[in-house]
Amino acid sequence: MKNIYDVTTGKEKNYECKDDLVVKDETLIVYLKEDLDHHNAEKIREKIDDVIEFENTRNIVFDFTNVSFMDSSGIGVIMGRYKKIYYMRGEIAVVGINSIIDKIFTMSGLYRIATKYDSISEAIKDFEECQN
Amino acid sequence: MYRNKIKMEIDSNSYNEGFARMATVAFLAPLDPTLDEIADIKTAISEAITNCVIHGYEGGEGIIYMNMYIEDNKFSVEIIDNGVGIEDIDKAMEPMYTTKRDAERSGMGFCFMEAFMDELKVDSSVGKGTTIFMNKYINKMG
Repeated sequence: MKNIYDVTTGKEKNYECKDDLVVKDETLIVYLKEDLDHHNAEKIREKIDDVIEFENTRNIVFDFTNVSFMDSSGIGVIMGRYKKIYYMRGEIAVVGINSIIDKIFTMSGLYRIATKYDSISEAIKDFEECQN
Repeated sequence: MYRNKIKMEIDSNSYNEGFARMATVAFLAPLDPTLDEIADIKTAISEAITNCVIHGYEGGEGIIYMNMYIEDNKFSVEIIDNGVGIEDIDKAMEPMYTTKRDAERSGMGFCFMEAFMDELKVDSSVGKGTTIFMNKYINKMG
């Protein structure tokens, strides 16, 4: 647990700082561990938004290595997070995409807002080169 | 000819979306589907059940009826709710159309059902509920 000063309420708020969300410089790395369906989408969205709110986050990398299923609810999660970082000229990267998830990304046009990389470090390197 | 059927009544809640997918995979096993076929059907089922939970029953209580059939290599499924129904089915089926933009719904549910299954039929009346009927032929190449 980590205590963070919440400017909107003036109180300390604590949130669980789990290892599946890591902020490195201005980039939030999300290690997805479950199916990205409607049931899990709401939990994942809340966790990510908590971090975006309290930590300096500009870019997001979603690691899909351990995800075997995603449906249209997952598309909503990616699109919604993109809207949050868009005004800071932030970027979305995705890694560990298997052929099944790739089909969903391609059909939904998600690759227009999220770039696919082979590794997290490649994505971060690209952010640094483009944004500095 | 191989035949099988299963009729399920499941509570409308998001946990059961994953359950419905897993039950479908188990039901399909005797047909020896490819990984792609399994993925396609899982996505279509997930979209249909999620629609019942979010739109049909609007997050409240309700029963979802899920009936699955196999006849030779043809898999069929009916997903029925007694929820609010759909006013304009054609509109609901348009890509990116959603009545719940605030809840970050992408409006891709019906597109996926249509793309991933061989046939999709939607029957709905306002105030009474919605029935989704889909089928897909397994192992078309074999």
